[in-house]
Formats: sequence, C-alpha cells, structure tokens
Amino acid sequence: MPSQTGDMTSELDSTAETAREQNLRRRYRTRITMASIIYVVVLAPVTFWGGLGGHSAWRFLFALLPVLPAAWMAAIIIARFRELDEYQVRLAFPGIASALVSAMLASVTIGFLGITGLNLPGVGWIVFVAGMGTWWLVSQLTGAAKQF
Amino acid sequence: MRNRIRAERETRGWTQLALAERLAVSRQTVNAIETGKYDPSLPLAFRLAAVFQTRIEDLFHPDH
Repeated sequence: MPSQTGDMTSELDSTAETAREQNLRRRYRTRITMASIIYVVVLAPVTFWGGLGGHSAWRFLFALLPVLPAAWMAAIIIARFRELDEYQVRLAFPGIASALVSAMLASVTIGFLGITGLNLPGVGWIVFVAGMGTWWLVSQLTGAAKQF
Repeated sequence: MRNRIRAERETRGWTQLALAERLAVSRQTVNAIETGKYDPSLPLAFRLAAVFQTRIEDLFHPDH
C-alpha cells in the first residue's frame, strides 16, 4: 500500500540522488571551495600589503588581482547551471531573476543618489550584496539552494 | 496535466532514483513530474515514453 509522506509518493521513493547528480554536486563544491580559498589567499596580501590607498601605479593591478579567482568562481557557477536538468533550471530561475532585479534596482538607486551628489563609499559592494543576498534568500525559499 | 508516470514506475518496481538514472535527470525532477508540480519538456516526455515503451499520449492526459 503506497504511503504518503510529504513529497514521497510510495515506499519506492527516497530522498537519495542519482550517482551522476551526487558526482556533479560534489565536483561543483570542490571547485567552488578551491576558488574561494584562492580568492581569500589573493585578497589577504592585496588588502594588507597591496598599498591600495597609496600612489603607486601598481595599486590598480593589485586591486584587480582578486577579480581573477572571482571570475573563476563565476565560471564554476555558470558551469553548474549548465549541468542542471530542465526542472532544476526552472527551480533556480526565480533566484537568478530576483537577484538580477535586486542588483539592478540597487544600481539605479545608487546612480540617482549619485546625481544628487551623495557618494556612498563602496557602492559596488552594495550592488554585490543586493544581488548575492537576493539570490541566496530566494534560492532558500524555492529549494533551489540544494542544487549547489 | 495528469500523468501515469508513478503508476508505470511502480508497476515495474522501480524507485524514483532508478527512473531518474534511466532518464538522466535528478530524482527531484522525477518526483516533481509524478506529483504534477512540473510538466516535462517534449524531449523528456519522449524519453519517458521510450523508457516505459509506450506512447506519450498514454502517459500524459490534459486536466480537462
């Protein structure tokens, strides 16, 4: 006799994932962890010894160094999206769309405030936090976060 | 859209995991299709029909 437990439809159901899905997710987590570690390893010396507040022309290069592992992280996330199946992509879409809207709204808001002469420090980070924070929050609500 | 995926799967004694492996999708996707949360794309519907050796119209029926 089939049982009904939440999303489970019968005793043949389980919450386990396919071996392929487990392997893909494990590979994603390993890669994103490696990229995150490299990001921190690059960021720390740049922040403390990069002389970003000085006058050397090198400070621009040092300031941009953490962008390399950040770009790698972005590439890993994009690659993970390409591995998702059609339902998982649909599940992930609200998070991505909301993050885009949130980041754009933050950007436009800051832009208009800038016209008035109000220059907020670290405005780029506000846009980043708005986008990433929204992605995280909506993904938690939709259950898409489990795919990452 | 109503479907007979769960019935066909259980007739064969397959778990959602086993069906997901055959379809090369996640178990989450199989569960979403069976519970009516998600209607599969046409290519996936064809794969389902092939796995169950039947026709798409025998697996899926409109609600009305």
